[in-house]
Amino acid sequence: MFGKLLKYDCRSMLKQFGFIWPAALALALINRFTLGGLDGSSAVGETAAGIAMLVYVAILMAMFVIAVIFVIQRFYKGLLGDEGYLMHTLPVKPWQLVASKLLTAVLATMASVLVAVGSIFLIAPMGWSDLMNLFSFLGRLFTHWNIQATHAAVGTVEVILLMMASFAVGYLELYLAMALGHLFSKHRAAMSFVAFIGVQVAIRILGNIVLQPVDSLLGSLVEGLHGPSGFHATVWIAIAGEAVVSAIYFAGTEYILRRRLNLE
Amino acid sequence: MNDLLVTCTALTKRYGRKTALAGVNLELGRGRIVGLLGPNGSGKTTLIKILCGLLQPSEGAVLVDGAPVGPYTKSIISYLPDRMYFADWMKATDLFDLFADFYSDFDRTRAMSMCASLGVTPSDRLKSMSKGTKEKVQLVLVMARKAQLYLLDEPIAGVDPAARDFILGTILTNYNESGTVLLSTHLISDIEKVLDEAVFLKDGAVTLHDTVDAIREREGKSVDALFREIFRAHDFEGGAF
Amino acid sequence: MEWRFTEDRPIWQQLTEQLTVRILKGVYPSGSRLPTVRELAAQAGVNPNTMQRALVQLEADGLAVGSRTAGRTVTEDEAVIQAARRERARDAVALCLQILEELGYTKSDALAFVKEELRDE
Repeated sequence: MFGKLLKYDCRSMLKQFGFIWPAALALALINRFTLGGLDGSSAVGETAAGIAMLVYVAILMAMFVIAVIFVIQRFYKGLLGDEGYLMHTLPVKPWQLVASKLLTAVLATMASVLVAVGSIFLIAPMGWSDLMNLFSFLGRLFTHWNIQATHAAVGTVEVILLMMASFAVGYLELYLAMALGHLFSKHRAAMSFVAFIGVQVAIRILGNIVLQPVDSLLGSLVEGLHGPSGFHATVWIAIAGEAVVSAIYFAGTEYILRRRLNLE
Repeated sequence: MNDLLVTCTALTKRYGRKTALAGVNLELGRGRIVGLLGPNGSGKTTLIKILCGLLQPSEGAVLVDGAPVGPYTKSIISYLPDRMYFADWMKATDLFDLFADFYSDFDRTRAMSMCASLGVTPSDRLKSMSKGTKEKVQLVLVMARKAQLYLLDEPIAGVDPAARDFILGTILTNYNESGTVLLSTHLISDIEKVLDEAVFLKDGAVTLHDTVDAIREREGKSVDALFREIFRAHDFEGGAF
Repeated sequence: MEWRFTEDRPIWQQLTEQLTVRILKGVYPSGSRLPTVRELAAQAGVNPNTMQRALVQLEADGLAVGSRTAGRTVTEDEAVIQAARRERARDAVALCLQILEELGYTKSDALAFVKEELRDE
């Protein structure tokens, strides 16, 4: 059932981003050719390059705005609005609904980041040989720093995981705020906003009380480690921290959807 | 299989200080068409939404086929809400795919033939459909399932008499014979002859629950006439009566 | 022939009566197969359980034979059909007499009046 939910959420994701992703990549490709006009040899070329760059930047910004709207709307309209009539009468468990929305949201964000990074490579007038040179340069750099290639590869994956975890925490915080807003019988949208601020404050206070001592303990632990293993440990501790906060947000959201849902 | 399909015990629902349901006790058997009758604001929609899990009761308990509301009960309930709930960019066939994916009792072939007899083109986008056509699509989705409990919230409100007859005909010819249909309405004269049982809901409480024939035999008048008598003090909406 | 219902009596009784009239009129000829419960219910726009009850009564009256699963047929026993016809006719005459008595006719006046009316036709 979870796979089926995911299938439908991913379809709505493709619907939402189906235009902006190719558009960003296409604009990057255009910039690759117009960028040459910036050398000042012709005013027309310069103007074209300027406009192309402006549109490209605007599209990238729009893409991330769409991503945030997507995350909020898929949850608010999809589970707490009219579409919730469908989703909550499907024979699935509430946690599956939340998890499917979350996974889709993180996937959409990561894909947007990938598109943004990819578009930069598209703009830069690089061929395959340039790309190979870049990699061999990075390789030599790591060798210089005495870092093995496996550590570098694992480290990259770890950083990506950390990124995903921090996106997840951010989105779950939004979900919890919307779910808390749903507990009120009136002004639910406004109460969601108030709840969002409330959750922020609460997590800061909690962080100060609970996490500070844990943090310094872990900090001293990590300080003892140097080089790659220290890096791995730091990243994993950070991921674990995000996971704990995520779990709290997720549990709160799931509880409200399971026991306190009131679609009126 | 449980003998009783639906059991509500002392079911109460409050919205803030307003009480929508005040201790409803209700038992429904299998294989019947039951009318949930009451004026607007009597708690019909609230009761139906609690049965399908969109609202949580303040007090009391609900059992559907012996189980509390959850994934199992949702898998045997087919619900027609009082509003449109799907994304506009989809086609009717996309919705059929979705229903076929999630409900093992959804009969795609039947859905397609119902579309044909209702004059709906299932490959059209919902966006391009009129309100009436969208309602028909929703009705097809609900009736093409071989569910144990059909919950139909005001299926004939706001449609013209021809469409009303068509909807009732669709319900009569398509519901699963061993399933129960619970349909809420305040337009009783139109549906009285399709009902087995009538449940009168007044101010959030069940005031009468009997078979239509027993009511007619005992009272010597139609359920509609009895309804008007009981609810005379109420202010009915619109010119429906 | 349309299905019509009045407000004051159970619907199944009215269904039995109207099914009987259809058999007497030959809409469902003697020995022919009756439509299924579901078909009849859809035609009349009534609940299948109500139609089922009406058909059970029709069986009790001897007008329909067979079972729900195998399908019902109209009886081939002419005596039963004739009896049902007489029964309906008796009801009609009783109603007619009742109305005429309300209008002030005695029974013999009423009979004379009916004869007179028939002669004029």
